[in-house]
Amino acid sequence: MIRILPDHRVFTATDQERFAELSGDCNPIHMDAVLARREMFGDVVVHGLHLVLSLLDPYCAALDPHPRRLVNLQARFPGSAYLNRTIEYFCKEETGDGAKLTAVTEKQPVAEITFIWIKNREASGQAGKGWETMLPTFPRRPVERLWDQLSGLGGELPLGMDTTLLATLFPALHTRLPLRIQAELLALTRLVGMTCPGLRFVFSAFEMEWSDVPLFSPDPPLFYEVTRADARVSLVRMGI
Amino acid sequence: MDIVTRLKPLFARLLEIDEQSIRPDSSPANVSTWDSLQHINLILALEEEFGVMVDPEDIQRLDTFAGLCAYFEQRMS
Repeated sequence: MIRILPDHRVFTATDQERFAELSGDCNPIHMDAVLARREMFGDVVVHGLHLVLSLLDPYCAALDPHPRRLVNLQARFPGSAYLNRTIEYFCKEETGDGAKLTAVTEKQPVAEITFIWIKNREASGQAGKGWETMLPTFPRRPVERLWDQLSGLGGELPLGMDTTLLATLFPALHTRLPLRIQAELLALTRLVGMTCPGLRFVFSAFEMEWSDVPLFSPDPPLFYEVTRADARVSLVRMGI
Repeated sequence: MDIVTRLKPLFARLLEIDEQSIRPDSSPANVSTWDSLQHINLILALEEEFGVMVDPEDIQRLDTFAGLCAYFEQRMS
């Protein structure tokens, strides 16, 4: 395996707060040590999307500064990443147009991502305005839903983010990837943690594909629908 | 088509392994991609393929290829 530099990271409560501020995912599973202790992971866990972006950012930083556009991104979270523990980053495989990256703690993988991207002609990070206007509309408390309320549930999710904070937390991604793609990724964690399914839920996996999307506009919003909600295995599947 | 023939390609696709490598005793202990997350995906995919709901108490117990084949064969008979 190839090492990504920096090759490890320790997430702190402050990191969690800043990522929650950026993404809008303030689910107490990621923020509140007292409440998290009573939930299935037994302690605060790092947002899955935080791991994804934290893997991608240093990988991007080592590449040439040419703007890129993700075509496909798959992520799995086979384990839990806890605060104040060392998480090591590896590149398992590189192809001409993508890579497989993994985050590992105590020899257990906690995030695995596979992506394909293409070089983009247009500049990325700084282009586009209006991203902050949607921030005040984001919920501040996660919705709590019963299993029988989830089947068929759907809606729309506005896109928005603090682009200055984005540039601070993920500088390499910010300058290379279109804002729309970054906003959609951040919206995924906000959707799962805050809106649908909401409280007590985290990602186990996701796959995103981008084709002809408006790269620099927050419009249209993301539309989502629950395609399966299975209480036996505590699993919700959604289509975006 | 027998159950093993139907199950193998699905199994291979989900666990990202070669069909030829699947043995009756294939399990999380000897298939590195068969983790707890993929186990759930496997069960759900098999349920959809065969139109059978696995009983909650059986979900964790079905942890070998042979065991899964036997379970679905019996449930469908």
